[in-house]
Amino acid sequence: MASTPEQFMTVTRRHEEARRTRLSVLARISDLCERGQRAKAIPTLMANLMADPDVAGIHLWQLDSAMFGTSRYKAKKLIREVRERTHDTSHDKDGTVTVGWALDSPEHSVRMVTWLWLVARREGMANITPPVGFPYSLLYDDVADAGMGDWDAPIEDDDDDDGGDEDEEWEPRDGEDETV
Amino acid sequence: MSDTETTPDVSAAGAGNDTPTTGRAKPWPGFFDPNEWDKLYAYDSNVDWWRGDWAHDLEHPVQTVARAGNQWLMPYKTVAQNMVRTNREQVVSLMGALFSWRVATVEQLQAGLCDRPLPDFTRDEPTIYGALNRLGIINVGFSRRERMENITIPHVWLSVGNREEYVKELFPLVGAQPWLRHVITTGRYSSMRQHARHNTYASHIGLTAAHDPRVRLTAGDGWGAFRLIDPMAAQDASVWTSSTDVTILTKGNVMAGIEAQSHNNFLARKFSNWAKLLAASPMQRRGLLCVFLFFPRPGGWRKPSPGFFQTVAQLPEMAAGDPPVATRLGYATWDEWYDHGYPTGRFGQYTDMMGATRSIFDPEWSRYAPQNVRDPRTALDWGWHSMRRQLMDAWGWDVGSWTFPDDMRGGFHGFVIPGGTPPADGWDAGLDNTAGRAPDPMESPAPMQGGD
Repeated sequence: MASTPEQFMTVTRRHEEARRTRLSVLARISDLCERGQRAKAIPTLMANLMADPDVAGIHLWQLDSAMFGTSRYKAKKLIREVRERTHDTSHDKDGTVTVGWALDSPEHSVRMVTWLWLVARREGMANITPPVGFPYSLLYDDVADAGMGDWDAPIEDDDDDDGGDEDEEWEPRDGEDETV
Repeated sequence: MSDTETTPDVSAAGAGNDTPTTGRAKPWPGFFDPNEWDKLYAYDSNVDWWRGDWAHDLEHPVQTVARAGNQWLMPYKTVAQNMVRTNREQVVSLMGALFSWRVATVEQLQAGLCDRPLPDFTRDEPTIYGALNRLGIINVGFSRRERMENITIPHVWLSVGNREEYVKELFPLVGAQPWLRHVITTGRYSSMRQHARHNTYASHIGLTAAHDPRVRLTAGDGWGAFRLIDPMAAQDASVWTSSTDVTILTKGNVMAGIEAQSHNNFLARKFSNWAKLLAASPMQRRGLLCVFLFFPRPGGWRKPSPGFFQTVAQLPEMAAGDPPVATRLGYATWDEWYDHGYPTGRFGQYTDMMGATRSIFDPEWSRYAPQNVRDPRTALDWGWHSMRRQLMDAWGWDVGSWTFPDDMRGGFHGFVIPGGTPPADGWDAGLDNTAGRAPDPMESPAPMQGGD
């Protein structure tokens, strides 16, 4: 059944309001980032999302662009990587996936986590490296890199093959006698 | 602890395959005695290596494979790459094991040094080993007796490939694996040497520990650096770049470093380094002990003279600490720990620098050893912890209630955690948070208390 002109206007007005809400949130996020308060961008997004479901319609590429000035092409490329890593099988195009898509279920929230991570990594804000003292630092709490040596220095190889036929005599330390 | 032989942990596959000389059941599937020189390394202490970089650079791989006995090698790189992609988790586990143990036979890896099941090495058709060799990622070694005597020895040795740039080609095929990337790109990879005979012995010790119910975990040479075991002590003692062959963490939270020693070269320096490390590492921090295990070599092996140990006993570090270093450093011989390769009831025993007989499993050590040591299996999601913390720092938002990507879990394949044959989907299967939800980083997994 075709909509009446009044219904059409209502829907159109509704869409326009939702669009303005999203643009407003994006503008606020962009402003925060320009003022060096990027750490407030996602909390702002989430607070607005909880207050107004229309915010879920923000495209991820728009969010990336608002925070970092990323081009649409580059932003979509990163979204492609997110979808590959999360083995996403949804049929949405990269340019149309939204915040709502990234958070539409607890299982699918991996999309948002991965997106946030890859953006942070791209911008040099995060990186996965094993913790200092890995792997034994996984077992103990007292490992701290307080000015310790070069963790990447090559390990001495004390000639672990079968060696030669001659014993190496004990090299005395200062003041000690040779004994062997 | 009774002075009887360790009860062998015999799987169904190995049961009933008695050796002709001992009549005993094998302690693990694929068991063999690394001391049987005339069968294994008759002409040298090494094996004939098919180096990965050679296989990678073959100009006519099909011709190479066409020769009888070479059919195990995968001639086509694209097929090899697909095999690696298809068996990604198995490959990552294998590489983790090889970075830990440096050199091991396929049977040793299958018996528990690798934390996922591995296929047999077949010579008449390519397997994952042939694929990895063709890509330059691993080396494959055969006994020199095969070439010299025109026979086939059933043991095949594996090690990590020699060319870093080829080994790195693994990453596009298996995904992130940050810990593996870290190993390859740091000095740990460049430090790796292949000593087939020595490392076969060391792997045998590791397997013994892996099947010992008193052991919590064991690791090989690749994770034996002093600075990893106790960085503060390694720095204080100026032994930052030294390492040990095998580490064993017991259920008493004793961390034992085992030095597999077949000759006396550098022995004085090694004892000295260990004495310094032990003096700088209080028992309460790591529960650190050291046992030099002397094993024989062809051509005769000379155990260090009594005068040598007297000199060690007089080092100034021997009296340091409570208990003193002299009780935490000692030696044993292969024949004390093994009878034709079978672990004896004296596995773990040593003679300390005061002449007393002790064991790394003595319950009395628990009084001094650290009380809070995390379960290594629950520490495998370090990647998620790190992600959650960094995302909080970057975005000001705690993503802990959301799902985390599997490939960023962190993981690690280099510890051997006793329990017999590894489960089909690895040691980390069945852990909490397999749904991918990161645990609260403020809530550490419950630490393991010392003792059983």
